[in-house]
Amino acid sequence: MDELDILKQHWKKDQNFPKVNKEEIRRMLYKSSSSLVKWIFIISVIELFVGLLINFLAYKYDIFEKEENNPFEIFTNIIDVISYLVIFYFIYAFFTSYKKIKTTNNTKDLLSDILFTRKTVGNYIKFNIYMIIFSIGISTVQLVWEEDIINKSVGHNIMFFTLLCIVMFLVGWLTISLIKLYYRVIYIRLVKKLDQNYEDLVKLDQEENAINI
Amino acid sequence: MNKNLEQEFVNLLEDNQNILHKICKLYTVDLASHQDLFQEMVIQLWKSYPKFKGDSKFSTWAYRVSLNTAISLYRGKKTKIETVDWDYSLANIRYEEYNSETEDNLKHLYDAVRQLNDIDKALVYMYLEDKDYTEIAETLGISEVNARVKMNRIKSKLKQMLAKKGVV
Repeated sequence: MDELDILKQHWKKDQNFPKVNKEEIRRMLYKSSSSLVKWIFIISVIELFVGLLINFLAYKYDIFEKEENNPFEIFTNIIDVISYLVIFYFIYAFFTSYKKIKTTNNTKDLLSDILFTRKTVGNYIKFNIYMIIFSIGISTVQLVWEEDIINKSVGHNIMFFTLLCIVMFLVGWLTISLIKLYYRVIYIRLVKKLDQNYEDLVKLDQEENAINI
Repeated sequence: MNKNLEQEFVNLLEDNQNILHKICKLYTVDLASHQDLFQEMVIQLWKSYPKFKGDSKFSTWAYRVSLNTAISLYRGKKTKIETVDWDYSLANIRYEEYNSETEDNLKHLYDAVRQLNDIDKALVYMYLEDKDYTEIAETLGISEVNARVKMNRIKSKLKQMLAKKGVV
């Protein structure tokens, strides 16, 4: 008789549990859930809307005055439209995949649905990082354009470019490091357990494929 | 949600509560987290109850949702979560008594099972509940062959763990 069968004998007889009565069960129904999915949902919604707010504010209080015939204006307008479209796509994708999460599914599908939902928001954050890098690039070109370097001395230009590079590098590095830190603290903490469990199930399937080959 | 549905759910859950307690016993290490996980399972079951059509037994449906809650939704008790206080005098169980099985061997067995990962625990749970491999595989979303292979591995793993402690 193996160990689990010894355990099984005891398991079936085991009734030594705290008895929860009807009233206690009823009270539990009105408690709020503290599940990982709920936290993933709250944090994701905040992230999506913070992204939206930043885009909205950046558009409203444009750092650069909108001059007539500014060659960058059309360009930045196109970028604005595209980024709004992408943000709305992400919001749509997030809510659609969130609605698919059902505890009545099998464990593997459930884990995969939760992870997919979170991954959508992860991609959204990545998209924002690329947008930040891109806007830093555009701002740099715009600053160079406005500096009118052709009519300035060589010494001034060297100084100008050196400072520009340092400032832009620092701004970019700081922003990306902050986002990465945030990502590591929040994202990884939320999905670590889910990732591990999903990996374990996927590994099982891979092992079977290996046996079949 | 209407009161009749609530009453019906509460009655069914009261009768079937040991399903939840048994999962809690494998997935938690103390009474506080047991309560915490139990409450989360009740909330999740209640959330999906309106869609429970009765085409399977309440108990079959309940263990699937509860297992999924333990594996995918439960965060572990790190912060203080407000849980419904239970009447411990009724339960006649104290914190120190949690996991204090009468036989030492049994205690070691439970300890060893608790050290397994979440998926392995789910397999052990269903095995102890006498579920067949078709159902185990279907619940976890893996193939039946894999469920069998995995179960055998878990058995040898447990044997090793217990041998290390000098139990077997």
